[in-house]
Amino acid sequence: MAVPVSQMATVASYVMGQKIRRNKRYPLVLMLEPLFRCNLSCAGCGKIQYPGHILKRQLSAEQCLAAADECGAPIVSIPGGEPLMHEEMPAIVRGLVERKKYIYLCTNALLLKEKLEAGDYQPTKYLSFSVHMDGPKAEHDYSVCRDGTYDQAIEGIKLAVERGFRVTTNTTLFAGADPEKMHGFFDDMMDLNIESMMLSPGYSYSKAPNQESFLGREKTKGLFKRILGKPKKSWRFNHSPMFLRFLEGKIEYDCTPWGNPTYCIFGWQKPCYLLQEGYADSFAELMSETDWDAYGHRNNEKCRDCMVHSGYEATAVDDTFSSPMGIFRTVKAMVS
Amino acid sequence: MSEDKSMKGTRLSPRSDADLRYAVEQAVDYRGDVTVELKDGTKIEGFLFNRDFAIAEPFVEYYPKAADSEKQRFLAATIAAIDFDGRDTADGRSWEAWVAKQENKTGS
Repeated sequence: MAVPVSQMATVASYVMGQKIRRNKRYPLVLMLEPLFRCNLSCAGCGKIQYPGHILKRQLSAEQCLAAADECGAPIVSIPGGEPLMHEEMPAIVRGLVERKKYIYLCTNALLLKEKLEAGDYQPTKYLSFSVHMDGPKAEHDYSVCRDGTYDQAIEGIKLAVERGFRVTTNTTLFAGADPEKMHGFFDDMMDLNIESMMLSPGYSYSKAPNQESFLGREKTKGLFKRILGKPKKSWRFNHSPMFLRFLEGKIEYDCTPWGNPTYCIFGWQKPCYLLQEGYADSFAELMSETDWDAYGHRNNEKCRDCMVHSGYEATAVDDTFSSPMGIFRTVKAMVS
Repeated sequence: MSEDKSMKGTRLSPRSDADLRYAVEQAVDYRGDVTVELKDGTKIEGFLFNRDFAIAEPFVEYYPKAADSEKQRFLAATIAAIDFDGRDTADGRSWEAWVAKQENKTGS
């Protein structure tokens, strides 16, 4: 199973529409963060370190759907925290499906089996469970700081695939990742009949507990070159081929922080999913009031080592549709 | 994030605009509750998450400690002092405990 043609067509026509309107800055993926509460506390995560009263707060379904309407992006990614802990998540998903948004519900899958058995979600081309899997069993369990989570996630994935859901995996790579082991991990994931895999180098959150695991820019390129150098035909990645080339250091891109705008209990996050430089009350204010030129790996120390998909996937997609050469480069990368 | 880098236990009493901005930035960056003492003696306890110093009357936005309260804001210029008295949730203690547990398991 691959990304549905309808999703590719939706994204292509949306981006082309932005190009025709000469809209330089447009959102591609809404990062909808309805809660920071999580049932894990992973070593490389800087999202959940908040006092108890903040962790208890969450966006209502109404607020989530209003944000999706306000932003207008064709894809909505729901990270967190752990979204499956939100009691209104089925209603949020239903509302987004009604709006024909393609949803990536990012989950550690610890609750997936329980929620599927309860009938909270129905398979649709609009919904994909994006399961957090940080590598093979030992590496994953160490990274998420709890034994047994890999097996639990696999159980959830199997049930979701069996029931006809779209399932992808989302893997964050840190210093010390072993390319050989990752190749075995890719085989294992594809053997589960998932749709595709997402990869990203870990972002060096200043609030993450394990600061020694983050990769610098050059080390990221070296690692991805070794991991993606000789890809098997059976491996499917849920990325633009140009983004994968970027990770391998084969092409240079600048960040597109407005491509994945983030909405959470604090408001619209400036400037991106990873930095917290302030919050706007509306999406329009975020787009008009943020000093976008102050960010990116050339302009800002905090962005120096970042090569994360929330910043660069939108750049790769924009590059594809910017010119006939962009389309040619992308097609060439797909077949090579 | 090591314990020695944490602002926990610090009290900042700004005496200049630069001090004020520094204190607010530190408080917004801090992943714990703080107590803000205003110039009129009022005390605000909560989690500071936003500020805007690019406007004529810079403000600070926060969630009060009471879980069901809405976000609120006050003028930055009204701050007399900020106490970093809530637990710093980014102090890395859970990670250190996990690593220690793994090391004990492997006997390293």
